[in-house]
Amino acid sequence: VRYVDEYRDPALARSLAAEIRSLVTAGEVVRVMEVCGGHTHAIYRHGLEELLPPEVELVHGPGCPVCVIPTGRVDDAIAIAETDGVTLATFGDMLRVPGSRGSLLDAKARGADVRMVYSPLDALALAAQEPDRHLCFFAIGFETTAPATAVTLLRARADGTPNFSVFCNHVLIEPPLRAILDSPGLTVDAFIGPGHVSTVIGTDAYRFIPEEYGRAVVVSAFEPVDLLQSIAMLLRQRAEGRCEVENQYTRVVRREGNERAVAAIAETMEVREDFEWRGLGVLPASALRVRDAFAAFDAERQFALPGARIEDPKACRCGDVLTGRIKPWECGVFGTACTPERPLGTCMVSSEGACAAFFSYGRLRRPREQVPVVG
Amino acid sequence: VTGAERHDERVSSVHERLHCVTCADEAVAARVRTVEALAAVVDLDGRLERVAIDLVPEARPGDLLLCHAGIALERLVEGP
Repeated sequence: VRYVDEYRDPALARSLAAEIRSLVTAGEVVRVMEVCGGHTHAIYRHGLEELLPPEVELVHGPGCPVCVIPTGRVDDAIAIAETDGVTLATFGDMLRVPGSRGSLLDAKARGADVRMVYSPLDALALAAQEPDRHLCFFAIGFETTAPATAVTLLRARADGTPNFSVFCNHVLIEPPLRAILDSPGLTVDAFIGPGHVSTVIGTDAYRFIPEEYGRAVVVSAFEPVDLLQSIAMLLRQRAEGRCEVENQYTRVVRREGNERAVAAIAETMEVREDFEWRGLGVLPASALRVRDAFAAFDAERQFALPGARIEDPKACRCGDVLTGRIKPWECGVFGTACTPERPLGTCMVSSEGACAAFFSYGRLRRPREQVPVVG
Repeated sequence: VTGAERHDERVSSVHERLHCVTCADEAVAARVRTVEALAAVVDLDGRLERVAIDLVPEARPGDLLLCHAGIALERLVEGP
């Protein structure tokens, strides 16, 4: 079941594109930030920018969970993986994110036991299968992924699994949005809100954007028709003088979100004082850690971690890409020193990263002199 | 089928996947075949997988579930 055909209907997409053209004023550019990396990926994959008039400019946001993890936390994960008797499990994309001494895949090549899983529940199952080893799950992700970690912690406690821990790096969507909205010289006029984060936290979570910052938000699904409809909804708000949170993804997102998921997160995790984000710096109250009640499963209490704060390579401009200040191809190492095969920065690692998405789908559409093309 | 058995297959197929493994950027909708205690067996692109339904305990056979990282996040309302 793909459940996508009706959301990729070319005729519908063309009629929405025509509506978008009718809603813009010639020469008046509207800058729309898509917060979620999934939207960035879909926009490039389906060539949606080609359908938009020049008055609609899409700006890529900070919502790729892999891209925002700072180098120091990757080094911490590698330190855990290189501990005797420990297996570190994480999502596939995290294996390739460069730390200061290479990636987790490099650590695996040096002999560390690093494994890829699709779910923290799979990591918990591995712990049960291999009772002589300690299994640590390197948890990353926004509110979309935190519920899976929460359910896993609850099950670990219920099962009394003694050899399992979570290295918690879950982050929250509101603080980076506020950081962007508070940044001097903000040029974003409206937001396409994340779809799956909203499944969990609901659409009311974004009301601060219109109420405090005067910017419209439309929570969107991920298919081409969805994204075009969301852009049309944002432009319609402007045309009608409205500024509010609207929900395009009504087939799955509810205003109040999934209360069970929110409760599971709240039971197992609490907000940290601050957390370092790649490109955004240290943001207060922007991430989650494991609660005291689950201390037995908290890798940060089980392992001595380096906890170093490490600067990104000077040539890497992931921070500027993540905050919409530059487009991927405006980074000096895009497509040359930094490619999906050998990423220098995180935005080139995950397929949701703006640089990787543009490298895969968008670069050939731009004049050669603008885009260095290799490989 | 869980854990290590699924792991090998997935390592080999990771480069063929179009969406991010961390965040399910496509609506990974899966049709429920059967429901067990706290888990549902779903049909994900023709492959049967077990997902946790702790957060969607009302899931029934025939429902479409939005699945991410091994758990169901929400039921989908069908039809545009």
